[in-house]
Amino acid sequence: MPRRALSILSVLALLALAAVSAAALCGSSGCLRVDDMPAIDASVIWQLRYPRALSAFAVGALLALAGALMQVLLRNPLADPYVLGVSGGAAAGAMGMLLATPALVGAGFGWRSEWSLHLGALVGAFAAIGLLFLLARRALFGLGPVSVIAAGAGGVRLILTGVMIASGFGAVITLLLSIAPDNTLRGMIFWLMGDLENTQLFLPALLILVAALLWCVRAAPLLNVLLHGDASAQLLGVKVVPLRAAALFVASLATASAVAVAGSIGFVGLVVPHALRLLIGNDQRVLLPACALAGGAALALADLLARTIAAPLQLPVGVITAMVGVPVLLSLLARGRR
Amino acid sequence: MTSSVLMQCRRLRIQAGQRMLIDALDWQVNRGELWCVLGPNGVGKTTLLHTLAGLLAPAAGCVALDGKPMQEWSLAGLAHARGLMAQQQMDAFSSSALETVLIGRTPYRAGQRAGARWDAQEDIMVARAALEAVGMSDFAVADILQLSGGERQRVALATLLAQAPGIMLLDEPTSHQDVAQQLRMMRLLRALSAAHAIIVTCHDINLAARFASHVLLLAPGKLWCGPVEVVMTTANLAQAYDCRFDRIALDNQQHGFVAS
Repeated sequence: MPRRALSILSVLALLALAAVSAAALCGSSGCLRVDDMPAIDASVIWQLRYPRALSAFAVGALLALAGALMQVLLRNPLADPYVLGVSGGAAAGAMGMLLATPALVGAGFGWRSEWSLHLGALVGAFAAIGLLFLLARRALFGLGPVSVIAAGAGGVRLILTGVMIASGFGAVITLLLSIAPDNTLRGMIFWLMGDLENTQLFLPALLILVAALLWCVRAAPLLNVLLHGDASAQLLGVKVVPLRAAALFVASLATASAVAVAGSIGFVGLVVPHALRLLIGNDQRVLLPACALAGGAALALADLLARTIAAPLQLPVGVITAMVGVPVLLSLLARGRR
Repeated sequence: MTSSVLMQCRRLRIQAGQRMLIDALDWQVNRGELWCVLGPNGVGKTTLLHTLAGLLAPAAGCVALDGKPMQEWSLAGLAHARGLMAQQQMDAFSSSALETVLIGRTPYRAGQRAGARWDAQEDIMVARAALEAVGMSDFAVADILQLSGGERQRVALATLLAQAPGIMLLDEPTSHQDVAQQLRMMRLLRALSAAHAIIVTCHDINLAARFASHVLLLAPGKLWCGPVEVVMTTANLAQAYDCRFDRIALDNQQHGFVAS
């Protein structure tokens, strides 16, 4: 590994470690040093904050990784993980399951209400991915005429299909919200903004993160070629169609897992890859692992803010990422198209 | 170097949708030849290059590279056999010129194991030499999105040089170049044609007359194929382009054409 890549990734790894530690050690009751800590506070850290810091890290890393992959795949530096409708499907699934939960629990076969959200989100996300692969299969699995490849029209068709899927699910979500009883409505809206309340899923999320990252590290040299266009990559011997399908699958899986754990947290998947590309360049071999580290650190810190800024009130973490992400992205855009 | 025949077309037919562009093209390109493909707009020059590159399947007939039919080549093998410099470069992201040229070394990375993930020193040297050859070595760290059209086009040529395929297909490589750079580029291509077969589409008849060894002149429903002095006559050009051509003698034993 060249020295520059090594130093960038080391700095970001230290940053991520610091962010996760801060998120684990600090809370609405203040920051604590480990040595002079009463036993009760230690248990708070080990049972509540440290799993929560790790889920925030995993979700942020998955979202940033998925965003970076989508940007390569759609050859658009402003694509985000949700652009193709995965989060819409997840949200519709989660909302549907929330509404169905009382009936499921009442049916008496041991259904536990805390499963509903995550399972519904996962099913909805995979429904959206399946729909996308089905509807956009021609754009995905064919190279098409060269004029089309060169102009990137395959990507346009993919985006339009995804946007349509997202709008369809948007209508379903609105429908479900409008028929939901008042006592579940608040929980639904909280989840739609992104919510890290349930921290039990940090282990599967971290495992999926490791798997996605391993694929990215292996595929990064080929993704670098794909950045220059489908036709160029094909001419240089890269098997474009399987690579593109695999990249879309990994990005969708990462998005689906992130959304299933924590709802549709916005802006991490858009701003982190975009900002890092401006800072460290567009070499996917460095950018993809850097996105995972920085995205994880960003969300861990955002969640720390969400927990503490209006304590004892907890804000949805999506509010914080949007409030930080919007000005950051606007100032990046003001620097001109890169 | 097994044989000097690098590319062969048999009864090649090329269509754009239902529109017949080229029919029954028998064509052979050898190492050491510099071919210019001439013809009016929309006659099928780019479609022909894309077919020779294997990006498009011909409507009929076949293309063979190095004596092997196109469909028997692996994608990785083709990347060593032929390369295409496209008419336009579609850049969505920033990248340095050197990084862009290094992309051309992709075929040489396949099959390497450990260490293949990062750029080998040898590849970086090849890429720098390619930038030098097109007169862009001062721009190695420049962002390709900030380059002028002509500069970007020369970086694309450097990428093709770094790929160094046996057959180089170039789609209007001189279109954004000033007069001096056009001459420089054609001289470079002529030097390259010693070791490669080169097929260039262009609109400048005088560049073709001066630098090409062979010409494929396309017209709707008709084509001429052969050594430059045989194909490039005022009569053939007039028929292909549907306008009048005069041949003018230049000093140093050369000649040019003026359309009117």
